[in-house]
Amino acid sequence: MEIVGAWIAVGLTLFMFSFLYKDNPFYKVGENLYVGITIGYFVIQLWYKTWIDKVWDVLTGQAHDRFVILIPVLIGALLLTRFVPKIAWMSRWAFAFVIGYGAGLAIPATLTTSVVIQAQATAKPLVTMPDRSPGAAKATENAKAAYDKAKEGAAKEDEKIRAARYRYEQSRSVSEYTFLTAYRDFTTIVIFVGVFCVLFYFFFSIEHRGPVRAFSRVGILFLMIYFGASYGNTVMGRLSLLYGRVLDLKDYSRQMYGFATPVILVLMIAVLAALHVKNKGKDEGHAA
Amino acid sequence: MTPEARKNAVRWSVFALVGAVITVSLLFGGVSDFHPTAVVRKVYDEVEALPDGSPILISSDFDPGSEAELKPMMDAVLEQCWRKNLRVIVMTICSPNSPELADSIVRASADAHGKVYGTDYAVFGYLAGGSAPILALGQDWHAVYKTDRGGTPCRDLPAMKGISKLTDFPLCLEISAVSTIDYWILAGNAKYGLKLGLGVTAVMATDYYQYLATRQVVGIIGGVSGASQYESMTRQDALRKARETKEAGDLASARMPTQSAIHVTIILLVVLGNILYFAGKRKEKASP
Repeated sequence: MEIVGAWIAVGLTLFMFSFLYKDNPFYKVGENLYVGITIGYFVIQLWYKTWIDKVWDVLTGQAHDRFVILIPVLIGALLLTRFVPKIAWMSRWAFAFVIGYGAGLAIPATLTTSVVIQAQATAKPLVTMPDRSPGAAKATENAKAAYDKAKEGAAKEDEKIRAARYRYEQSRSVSEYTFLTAYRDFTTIVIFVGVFCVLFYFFFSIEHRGPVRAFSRVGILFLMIYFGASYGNTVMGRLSLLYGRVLDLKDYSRQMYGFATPVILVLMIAVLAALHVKNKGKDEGHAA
Repeated sequence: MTPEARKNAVRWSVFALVGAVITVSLLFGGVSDFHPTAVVRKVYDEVEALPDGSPILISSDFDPGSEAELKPMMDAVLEQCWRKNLRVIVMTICSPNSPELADSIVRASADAHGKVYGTDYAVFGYLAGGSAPILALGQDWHAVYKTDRGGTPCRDLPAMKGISKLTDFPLCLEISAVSTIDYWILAGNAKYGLKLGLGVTAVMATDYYQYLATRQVVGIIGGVSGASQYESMTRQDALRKARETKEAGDLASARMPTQSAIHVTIILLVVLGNILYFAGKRKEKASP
């Protein structure tokens, strides 16, 4: 069974990769299988996990308030009236419910999490004053003692030493003005300048000239850095997925899986080459 | 050579180059030794600060498409949870495909550590509705999840002892490849003050850094790079073994040398592309 699974996994992976060459029958088979299986699986999961679990089992259960579930079912069913033009207007009730509920839920929460709290964090002091309280000094002392203790007996680059040093430096940066505190302040200033300049860039009520233009140019730089970071992360993410597939192809090329990868690869190349020759002959025939 | 053929040749040479770099680094790769960054360490510290036997909620919001990136992350986190004898409760709001995958990952990791289902961990099914189920879980967990995935009544699971609502979890880790994180921040953190740690794909990482400064999330493990940093704190034995035997298995740290090699390749390609672009422009200007 494991060998069959390996052959299917390798086959479908190579089918999808074959699109790099060009659209071809192997890719079409892989694509259609993927769409079909995904939809089939999704429908079955929804049927059992949503309809049976959350509706049917409740209705056929013993709870005295079981029929309340019919209200959301009815609202959901109204969406289906879109398919009958004469009564399609009834679907608006369902949409009104969904939009009203969604907006009511999302607007206050989004304002709080993405605007108010973010604005508060941006407006914090640009320079941190050390916390001179005895509590902070005591915390630093304890962290130093823990760091010293971790250094005794452990290997030089042990994770425990690294963790203890990290905690000590964090603690010290609160009670004293250290390099780490300065770094944090620098970050706060960068965030402040970034927010300020990017807001200027998106401020279209006045013409971008003079100092406004200078601020908006700096805003563009910040946006560029953001896009660059996003692109770098995207490359990393996509290549992780590619690496995962290549690793499987490597594993399944072993004898215990019947050399699945090389065999399927060679067969595919042979078929694609044959198709290419056949189509070329056809094209030349048409041209003649 | 026609412009179309030239374009295809360039496309093919990029694919071939990336393929060659992956193959070579896969053959000669090795295991990277990344030190954890503060952002990743914060998640580790929060888990580490939980008393032994505490419950921890993991929302496993990814499906097989992102497994290559997020499974190593989940393995690294679970390793720490088992060591601390935490009661791991897994759920998902991402898609009906997710519980199956989450279940297989947690079971494999738990079996390797002799953990018992029901006592040390439990896996719950998929909940549709975005932030709505999170809000409902915050009021009454048992009204939403009456049983676990296998149909065992929630109250019969020793792992669920003392948990009646979302805020009974001292920490929630959202390991996600989709925007379900927004729901957790909006409903879990903003509404109920749930402490939230994130494990995200690299593509998404930059979008969620803004929530770090505001402490709406305690830390972020971003992509394979973040997972390899987490491994350096929780899977030291596995890393040591991988370095000695050259058998890396599915460790994220074994993927990083390839990631780094490809990143360098992409940077060189971007530089080369720019050089060719500007050279082309100069040539265009020079020609009458």
